[in-house]
Amino acid sequence: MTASKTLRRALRRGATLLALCGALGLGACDDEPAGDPLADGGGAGGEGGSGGSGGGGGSGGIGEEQAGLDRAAGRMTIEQLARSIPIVTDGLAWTEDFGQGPADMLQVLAPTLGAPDYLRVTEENLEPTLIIAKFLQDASQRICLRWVARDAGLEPADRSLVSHADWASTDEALVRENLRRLQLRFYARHVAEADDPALDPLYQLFVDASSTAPAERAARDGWLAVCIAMMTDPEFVLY
Amino acid sequence: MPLNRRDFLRRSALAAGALTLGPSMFGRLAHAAGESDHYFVFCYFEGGWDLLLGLDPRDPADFPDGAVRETGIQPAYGLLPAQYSRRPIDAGPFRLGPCVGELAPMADMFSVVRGIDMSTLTHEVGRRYFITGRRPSGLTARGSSVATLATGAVGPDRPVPHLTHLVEAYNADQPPFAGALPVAAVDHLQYILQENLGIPTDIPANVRGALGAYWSRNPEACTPGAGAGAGELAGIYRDNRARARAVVVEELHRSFQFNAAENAAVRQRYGFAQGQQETPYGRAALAAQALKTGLSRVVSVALSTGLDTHDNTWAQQHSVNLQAGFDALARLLNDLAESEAPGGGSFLDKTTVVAFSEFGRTPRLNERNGRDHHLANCALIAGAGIRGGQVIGRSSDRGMGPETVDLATGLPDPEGDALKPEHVLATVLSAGGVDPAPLRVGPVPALLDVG
Repeated sequence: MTASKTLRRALRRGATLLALCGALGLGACDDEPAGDPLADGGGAGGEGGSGGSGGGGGSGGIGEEQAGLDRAAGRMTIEQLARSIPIVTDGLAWTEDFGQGPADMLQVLAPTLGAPDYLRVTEENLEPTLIIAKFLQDASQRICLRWVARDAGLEPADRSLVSHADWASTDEALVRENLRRLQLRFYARHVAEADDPALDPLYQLFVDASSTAPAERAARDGWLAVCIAMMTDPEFVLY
Repeated sequence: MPLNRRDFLRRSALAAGALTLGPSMFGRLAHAAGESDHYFVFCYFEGGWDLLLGLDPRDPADFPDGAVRETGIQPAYGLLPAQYSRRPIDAGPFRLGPCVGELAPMADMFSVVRGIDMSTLTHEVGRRYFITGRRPSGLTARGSSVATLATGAVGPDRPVPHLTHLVEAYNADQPPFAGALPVAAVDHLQYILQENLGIPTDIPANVRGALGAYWSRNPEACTPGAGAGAGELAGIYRDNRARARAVVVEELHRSFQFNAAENAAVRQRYGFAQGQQETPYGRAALAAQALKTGLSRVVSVALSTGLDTHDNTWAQQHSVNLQAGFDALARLLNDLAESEAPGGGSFLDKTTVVAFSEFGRTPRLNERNGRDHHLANCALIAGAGIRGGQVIGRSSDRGMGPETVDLATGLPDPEGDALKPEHVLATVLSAGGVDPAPLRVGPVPALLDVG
């Protein structure tokens, strides 16, 4: 490669980085993200979505030169959300029965959630709107109640929410290890150690919910709170 | 592999898209202007309304079928169902078409703008033009919708400042709160305003308390290794999550459970039975309730649908659908006029209402006894800041093309300018005390009530 080509490539890369930094307002985040988010597969869990070039795993021909580039976050489509929730919960979807059989509420509410009907709306609004936040809150409460109830009655090998043998345990080490595992399940985020400070907020939530519950319900309330918090976190619906 | 041009443009567009979701400088200025005591209702008639049947009639005696080759105008009122007049209706200050229904005796309450030059025959273009006050770029809307502009100016002092039902909305440069909360069905609004769709859900109080504390102390700074959970988009999501909880707390859903016994008076006023809220009448009731309950300040609602009648369904279907829309509009205006607003006066004293469609329909029947798309259009405006009982603008007596007017007076003027949707929308904004500068035109002074 000639010196001029090298210089042009460097200038182009620098201009790209400068433009993206300015547009994305990186001053909102004081800390540099640890490592390369693409290499770690960072971002929301669930099925891979459209939009956003070069999402996780180096797909789409993203090469070494682009490994350090950040990209704008985007919101999952309603269809992606509807497919992601059963994956995370090992089969539970947001269904309700109003007397006419179970209805998939994300499908029922899809027009209001902004999903295209290809009549009036041909392109989905991917903003994280109030409606999205509201119904995701509802979905999380309805689903997490069922998930907690189902999980508590299963053998450890069959569980998806709590992995340690004694479901009712509130032992810190066990809880933190499970939180580490749930980070991977919900967000595809690998937290190396259970004592990582990244888990502190959720562990505190677990403690707050469990310590104020009747003894027979302590762990249940803790995991219920954690489930709702994780499902309503931006990390779940954005990627 | 080097970054190619396509990838660069795509990433820049994503970044720009994310940036526009945050408060822009203009948005901050608008918000800083403070809250107003004003409301807006935008009523959309979907499909292109027939001007001869509604807001710009012609007398068949003056425009007989035998002269259609010369005039290009064919009222064809004789083809309408029997309940419709065969002549224009004398509404006092002006005449209206036979399908205006309950609006006819209310002419002092509103004004009509005729001869609006849409410059398009495409549904999406005309619709987005009248929603934004700007000609779209191709089919793509440009700028914020006028309802969003109005919301940005009146402020976020309502749980859902800007509500839409079956009407598009765009937020290009306004604060996030000005963006529309779109409700695809009247019934869905009560779900939004209730927790868990109204289904009893046993989330213990200690869990709620723990979650509340968790969300309140959730750090704004990035957590190590954070991906999409950091950044401006996540902040917007967290704000909306908090607003969503606030909406539920207010227990407003009862006012939108139109099937409930406690809302029988609403159903009676608007004339729809239980289970029939997905009608022009239910939608008009939705708009009125949104204002009256303090849920919203700006509401956009599609009052009428099914107006795009190119074939012989025009006579039977368009007439009925058009009148249903006008009847619903009349009931909405009356409801607002008879309802006391916070701070005194009626809601109509503080609400500016505009009714519009994407264009008119051809004044001459086609070979299938229907009407096609037509460049000239009309609009109806009423309420706060509007001088009622007037007609501004005119369509020609040959082919009903838009005629030029003196924009200062609204009177026909061969040397004048074409009336455009932005003139109507600038008038609506000005009537509500909102600066119409983003539309780059001024209001039509003759329509404003400066008294």
